[in-house]
Amino acid sequence: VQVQAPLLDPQTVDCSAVRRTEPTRSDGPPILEEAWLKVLSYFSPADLCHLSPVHAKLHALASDEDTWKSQCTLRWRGKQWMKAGELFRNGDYTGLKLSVAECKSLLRRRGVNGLPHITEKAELLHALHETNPHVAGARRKAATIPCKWKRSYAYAELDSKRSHITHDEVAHFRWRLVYHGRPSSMGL
Amino acid sequence: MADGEKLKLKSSQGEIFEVDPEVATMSTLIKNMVEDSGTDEEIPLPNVKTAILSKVIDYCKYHKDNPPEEIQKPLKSTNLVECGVSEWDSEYVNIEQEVLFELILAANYLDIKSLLDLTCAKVASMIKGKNTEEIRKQFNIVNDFTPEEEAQVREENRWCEDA
Repeated sequence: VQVQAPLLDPQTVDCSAVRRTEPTRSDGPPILEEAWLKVLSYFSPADLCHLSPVHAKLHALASDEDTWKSQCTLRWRGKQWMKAGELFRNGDYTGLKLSVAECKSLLRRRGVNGLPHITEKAELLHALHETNPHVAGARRKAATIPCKWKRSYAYAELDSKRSHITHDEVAHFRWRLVYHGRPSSMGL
Repeated sequence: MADGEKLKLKSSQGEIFEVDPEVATMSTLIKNMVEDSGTDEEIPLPNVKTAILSKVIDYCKYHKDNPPEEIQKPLKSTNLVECGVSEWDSEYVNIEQEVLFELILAANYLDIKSLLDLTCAKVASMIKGKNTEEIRKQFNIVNDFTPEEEAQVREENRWCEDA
């Protein structure tokens, strides 16, 4: 028989005084996890970030991979170089568990050559490390996000604020030049 | 199942509600129970209090011939009506927070997807646009992070404030 527990029970939650004397951490609010994940599915990324520091359990829920993967899918839609189900190319995923396929996909999109010859995962990780983006200041903390897809989203946002473009990008993007509201006839 | 025969739903407090089968079987749990063991016996719902069961039945009666629209994701506004929710549904979840939470549990237990969608969207709309302190206050949540941990989590989410 399923035990009926309130979504957030203030009496159970209000245990801060007890916690100081006990070495073990409280389990947090007795949350019906499926319901919270559904609540989170209605959130924007900013809403998820505001919820994260509220409580440890909510932090864990607001770092849910599937939730952020959906956010990425929405955000990537209609963008060149960004396909649903692919991690953002220009992110630092150090410390997270990536599959060999994910590593290779990132490296391929970062323009690393000779991938078919790399067989050791350690070499893939090394190549990833070598091609990680440089993010300055407090924004570096994005590299501490414990969730792969949230980190992917965060780096995509940080990258969208970038004001310089690399040679590779100039060469790779499909450009469509528009003059006075009309597409160019110069072949681009 | 004979036409016109009502299903008897029994709340955790023992109260019996006689409900049209088409209304009651909007709950996947009840639908499965009826398919397994027929309609003659009372259907015990030990996880649902009388007041909540009555409210759930209101919802099912209203939506029996009138399925709700999908709710927009992510919510564009804290006003559910602006997110594709009907006036009736929006008014239906305009209730005490404790009742709303009990409704979520009941919708989850009875397996009524559209009611779970609606109640969860309501909770989301109550959190949306609020800062961390306001969210704690709204739901009476006591912060269980140490100051160091909280600072770390806030840092981890700073990219979002800048963005």
